[in-house]
Amino acid sequence: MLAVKLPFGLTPEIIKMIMTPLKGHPAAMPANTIPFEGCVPAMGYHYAKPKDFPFGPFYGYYNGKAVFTEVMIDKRSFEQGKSWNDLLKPLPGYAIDHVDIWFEQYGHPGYRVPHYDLHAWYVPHRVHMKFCGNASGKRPPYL
Amino acid sequence: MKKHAILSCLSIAAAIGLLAATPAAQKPAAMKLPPGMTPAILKMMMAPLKGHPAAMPAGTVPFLGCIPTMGYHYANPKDWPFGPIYGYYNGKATFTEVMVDKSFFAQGKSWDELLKPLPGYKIDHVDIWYESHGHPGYTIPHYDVHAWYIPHGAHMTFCGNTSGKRPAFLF
Repeated sequence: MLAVKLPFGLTPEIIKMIMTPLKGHPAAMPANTIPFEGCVPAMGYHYAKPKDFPFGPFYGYYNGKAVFTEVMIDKRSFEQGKSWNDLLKPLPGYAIDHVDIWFEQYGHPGYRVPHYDLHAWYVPHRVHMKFCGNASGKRPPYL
Repeated sequence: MKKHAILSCLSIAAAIGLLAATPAAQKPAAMKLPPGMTPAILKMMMAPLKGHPAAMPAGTVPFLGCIPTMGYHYANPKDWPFGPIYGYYNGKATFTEVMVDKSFFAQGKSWDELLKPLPGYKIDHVDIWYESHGHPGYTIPHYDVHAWYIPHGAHMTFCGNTSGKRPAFLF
């Protein structure tokens, strides 16, 4: 049987994992947030209030704890020279370790325009890079 | 010495030259300064602190003086202009900053582990401000990305900016 051709290192198992939200609402996620997709390698689970989609804030969840605050910024907004105040505030009880800015050239499921993911992480970089079975610790080529 | 080379960049030379070259007979109101800028603000922005604040990392040097809504900026000269740049005001560290060339966003670059707080400080929020004309010290269109250790309402009045609003010359 021929192997199914999937782009950028994706496997059917990874797609299934990315598309499968958790059941139940994690206590660490703010009230009224809902899951967007499942476990995204190097990132974990994403939660947001539907009214805040797609800009954010999004909140990350992994292994019982909140792990990030995120905004997604349309590439065009940067080309237009927009400014933003008071972004990426940590959830109460958490502290920001670092900020990653990743360009998503093709967008990704849920937001299919070229945009930037800005994650304010509560955990060290090397820790979240292995989330969701991403054993290499490297940014997956499909992100 | 590198600091002085950077500080003597064209825009500063032009701004200071403009002040110095203004004929005595000409009224101050006729001076063409950026919107909202006054000679007093310009002087404050060009006057670095004397001495090295204990809260600023070793190896950093001051870049410019007190910038309204931002405070004082320090960086290791090797890290200029991208950063990290560290903020200082009233005895404490106040932010970690990077300055991102607008063309980098157009090119679709990515960065890991930007904007880490200095030890003992916590990031309260991030402001992303587009500087369409750049500013003294970095005069190309770019984004100032500040990770602030204090609330937005607190730093917006820094350096005598009593209105608490973003000054017109920082756009």
